[in-house]
Amino acid sequence: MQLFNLKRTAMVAMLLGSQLLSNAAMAEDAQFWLNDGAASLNDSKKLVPNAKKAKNVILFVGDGMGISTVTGARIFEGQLKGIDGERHKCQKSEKRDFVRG
Amino acid sequence: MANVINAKKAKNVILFVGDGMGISTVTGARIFEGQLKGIDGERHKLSFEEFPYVALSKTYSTNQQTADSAPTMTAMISGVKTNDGILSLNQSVARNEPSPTVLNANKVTTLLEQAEQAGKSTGVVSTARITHATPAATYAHISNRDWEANANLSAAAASNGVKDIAAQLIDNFGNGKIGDGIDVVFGGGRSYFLPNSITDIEGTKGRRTDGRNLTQEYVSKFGGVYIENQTAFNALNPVTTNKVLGLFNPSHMEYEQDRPNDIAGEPSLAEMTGKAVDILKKNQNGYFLMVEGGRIDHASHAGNAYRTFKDAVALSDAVREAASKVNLNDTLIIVTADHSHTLTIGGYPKRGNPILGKVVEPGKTTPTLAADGKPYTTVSFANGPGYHVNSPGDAVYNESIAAGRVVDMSGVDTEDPDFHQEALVPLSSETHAGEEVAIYAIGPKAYLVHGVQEQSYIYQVMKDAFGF
Repeated sequence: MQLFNLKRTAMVAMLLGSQLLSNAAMAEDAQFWLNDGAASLNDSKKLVPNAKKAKNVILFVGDGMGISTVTGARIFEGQLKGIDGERHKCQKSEKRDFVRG
Repeated sequence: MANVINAKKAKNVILFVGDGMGISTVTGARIFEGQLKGIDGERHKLSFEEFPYVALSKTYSTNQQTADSAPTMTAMISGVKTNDGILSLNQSVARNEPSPTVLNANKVTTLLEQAEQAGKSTGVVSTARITHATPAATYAHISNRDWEANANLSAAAASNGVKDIAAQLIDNFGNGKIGDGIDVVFGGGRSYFLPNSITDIEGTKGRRTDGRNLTQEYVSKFGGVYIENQTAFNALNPVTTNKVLGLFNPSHMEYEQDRPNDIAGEPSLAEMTGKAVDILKKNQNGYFLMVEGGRIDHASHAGNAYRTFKDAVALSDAVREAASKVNLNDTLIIVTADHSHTLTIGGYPKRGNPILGKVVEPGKTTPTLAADGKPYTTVSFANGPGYHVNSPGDAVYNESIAAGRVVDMSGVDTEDPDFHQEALVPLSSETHAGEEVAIYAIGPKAYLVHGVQEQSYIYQVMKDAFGF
């Protein structure tokens, strides 16, 4: 029980730490959003289509994972981590992928 | 529509905003239009679904998980996310801030303003009031989206000399201010531009208490013309017209479904878009045009899927009209929504089942019954005024809220235009939803529209396309 409480205390401290860190790192103002958008645009311009054959293919299917579920899961994960849920990204899957019609 | 990367600058940019046109609304509108045409609804495509590039837009605002149209349009038009109810001011400003000093110090520059400064022509077209949040964010900077006429300002804002949204459409441009006036303005909201001493052609009194007639001021200050009905719109010659203010309704323009009943007659969104392009394209420096399907959102707030879908189809028609008139090698077209709604498409209806009908499963001819023994519709809302019949559009607000499973709909025509879908949570007005919306793009720099992006990214793409 004691151990459990200690663990919990440590976890709370870690969460608070990351919260402070993330809050400091993401002080939002007009320039923040312009910089964020410009950085994303820069990333987009660096994307080069890779038209080569693939050696391997991995297909992930989130059964029933609609867009509202993706949004909810992102915010859920971010909030569990003690960071900004709305701005959070489920890394890899949401980041820098092509979404094509 | 060849899918070859075009990384050149754009001469022109057209931004279409389907207000409240979430992905479920796009799906529903596609099936609705297909079924109206008697073709396969599911396989059908709306005009912008032919565009080669699609991305997702994260719509939260700086203080809202589920945002309203003011900060979302501010994000798209200025690249800066902000607070609820705020138009083109940064997030340090609180809603209702009445100090002109604070407001001036925290303005964010809009793409429309940049286009004006660059000598391009500009246009703002909407089926909503032209002073409503989405169109207003392109030209006004204000701490409350509801301050549409001077009479709507708070006492503090009014006594401090804060300018209302309609006045800003005149006062923010020309005479040493930005550019030389917005070249094409088509929409609703006439009463916000007229003094209360004037009754307009549709019998509504002006709302302004400062004596200003902003329609006359548009004409005298910018050398434009002012029109207010379908006849004058039809007579407007785009070759000889360079600046025009068209206000076709004292408040919002009609839902597409109700447009034939309008008192003075008003053009469709596609007609307004086409004429706007024809007027703006004469400028060799190019143009920026924003077109809003403003009432998709309103129909969803009323819990009326029929008008929601019909106005989304009207937006699709407007996009098609624009795409047919421009050179897609020099014109970037972006179609998106500012936020979603709680409209949902559920059950296991069979292929080709009427999108507004009751759920009938594959192999069946009678509606599937829920656990309460009653049929249910494919389309419903998570919240809102709920089940109503014979209640055209916004007429539902005169009735009491009826959330939940209030009747057995076995004998009810749920495909009727005036049917309002069931809703779970009782609210006087159905709400926006917080999940991502889609961005569709074609033309120069359209290839940058990919991935999961912050809504403010849309501004970056348009700005980059113009080379600003």
